[in-house]
Amino acid sequence: MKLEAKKISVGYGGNIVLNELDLTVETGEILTLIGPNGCGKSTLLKTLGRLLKPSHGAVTLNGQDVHRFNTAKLARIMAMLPQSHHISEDLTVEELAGYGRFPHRKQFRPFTAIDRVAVENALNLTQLQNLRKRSINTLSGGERQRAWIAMTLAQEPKLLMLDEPTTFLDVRCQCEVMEIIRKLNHELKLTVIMVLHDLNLAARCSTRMATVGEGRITRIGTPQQIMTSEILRTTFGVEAEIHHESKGLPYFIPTGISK
Amino acid sequence: MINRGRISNHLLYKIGIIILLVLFLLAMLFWGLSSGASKLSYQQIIRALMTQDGVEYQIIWNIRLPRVILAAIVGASLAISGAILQGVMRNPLASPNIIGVTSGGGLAAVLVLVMFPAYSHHLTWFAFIGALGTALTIYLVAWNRGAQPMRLILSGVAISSLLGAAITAILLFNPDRVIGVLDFTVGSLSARSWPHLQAVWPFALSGGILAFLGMRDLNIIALGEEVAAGLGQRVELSRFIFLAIAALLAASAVSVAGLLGFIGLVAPHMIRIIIGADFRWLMPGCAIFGAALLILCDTIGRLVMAPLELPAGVIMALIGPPFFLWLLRRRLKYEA
Repeated sequence: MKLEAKKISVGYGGNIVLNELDLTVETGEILTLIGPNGCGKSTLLKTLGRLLKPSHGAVTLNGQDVHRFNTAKLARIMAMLPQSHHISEDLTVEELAGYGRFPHRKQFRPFTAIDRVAVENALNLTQLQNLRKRSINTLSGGERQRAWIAMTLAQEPKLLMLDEPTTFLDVRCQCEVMEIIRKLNHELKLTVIMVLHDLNLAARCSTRMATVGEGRITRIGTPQQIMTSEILRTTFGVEAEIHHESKGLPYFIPTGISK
Repeated sequence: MINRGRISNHLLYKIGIIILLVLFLLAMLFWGLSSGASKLSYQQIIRALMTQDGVEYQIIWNIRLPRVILAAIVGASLAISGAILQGVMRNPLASPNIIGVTSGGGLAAVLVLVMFPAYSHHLTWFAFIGALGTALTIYLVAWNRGAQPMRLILSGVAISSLLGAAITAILLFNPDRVIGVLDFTVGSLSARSWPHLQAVWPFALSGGILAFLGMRDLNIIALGEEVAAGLGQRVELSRFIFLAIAALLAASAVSVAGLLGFIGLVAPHMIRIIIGADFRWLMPGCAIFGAALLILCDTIGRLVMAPLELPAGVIMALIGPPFFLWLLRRRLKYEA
């Protein structure tokens, strides 16, 4: 399972967001895309997740253009959770997770035992067993985000893409979501690509981090390689002190704006 | 705390609601057949239909039965159309009006009735083509590498008000013809019979079957464009197909009964409040309830000022909103 972006260019109207960008996603890694607002990291994630079609170049999965895949077949390999997802209707946690079985089911085929097991596993992984009958609209922000993740897990993908999964969540909910992502990566060997704004959170759970700027991947490497004052200055325009916690993972404290 | 603000999710509850709706529809069917200038009992109705003879049989077979069936088909078509549109557009205000079916059908009808009365016996077909043509125009205007719901809604509103202005202008310059046109613009089943039924049933049936086949996909598209695409749905194609089904159903309904669009806005909301948003329940619920609701309105319209008839559209506009508001308030109270 190999996902690659080969010289992809993406633009909205005349505005070029990604410019001949190359990226290879390693199987089994947690890759986090970082960068300032408007740098194109969400656009990159959407393009990798075939929600956007590049004007040049291609995103390939095992060598085949993702836009040439059967959409349901692709959805059984990779799942995507967009940043903005809301539903105005009443829907239970269980029902939402059940929608994750959509790419596995043929028209008129009833929900099978296999489907039920997949939904059950998804609810267990996200610790939502006790909330299964609850309406999504009555959940807290963190629970709701977990319910959406449960839907993508019911897809039983090999690759999971998440666009800012922790934004708007309090610190405990952020930790819960990150715990789940780490568990999925360790236990299910799921490859995870995500966009995060919180660099310290990203440094704690990523295998690799990649900075996006000027339409390309400007730097890519381990958290130790990326979390340097020089890269933070050039990427975000901030001065920062870099520290290391007890396990040796880097974190930063911004001290001012670069001149 | 558990299940706060939520209609029961129990399978039995939902089946129960569907059974109640079916009973309501059957009651309305019989009421529609028995009511009128000569009141018929249920025994008389059944005897007349069995023996196929007598004055009662003539009344039922030639006047009341086709009208009641037509009301059922029109009501069901508009309610299904509205439910589909609200799901696809992800907008609670979506209704057959929003895709121009009413304004397009209305303009075509007014043009024929006022400017070319010689062709008025083909009114149904002109209205049908006008309705579908307007829906297609709105879709094309909204298209820009995809037809996003918000652009569809905005271009729908714009084109509908343009056509509405044209209707008003035509009527202003031909005040003598306004009365003849009102029956259509308000929406009515008066004097409709078998030929009208023959014109709509193939569209209603095929549209209805397609809508029922698509219930599962509708649930997915209602989650939003990006989520649906992530789940492997071909969103643009699905959206076009669902819009086409909704336009077909609404256009065929409007072409025989006039501009009854309101039922397409309100019936899906009412059913969603009592049965939930899952299309596998919502769709049959809407079909049954829409059918019963229009028979109810039409029959009330025939009775309240007898021997004068009030158009079904007027009754709908009078009793629909208060009932709808009551349901809404009741639900808000549960959620508080």
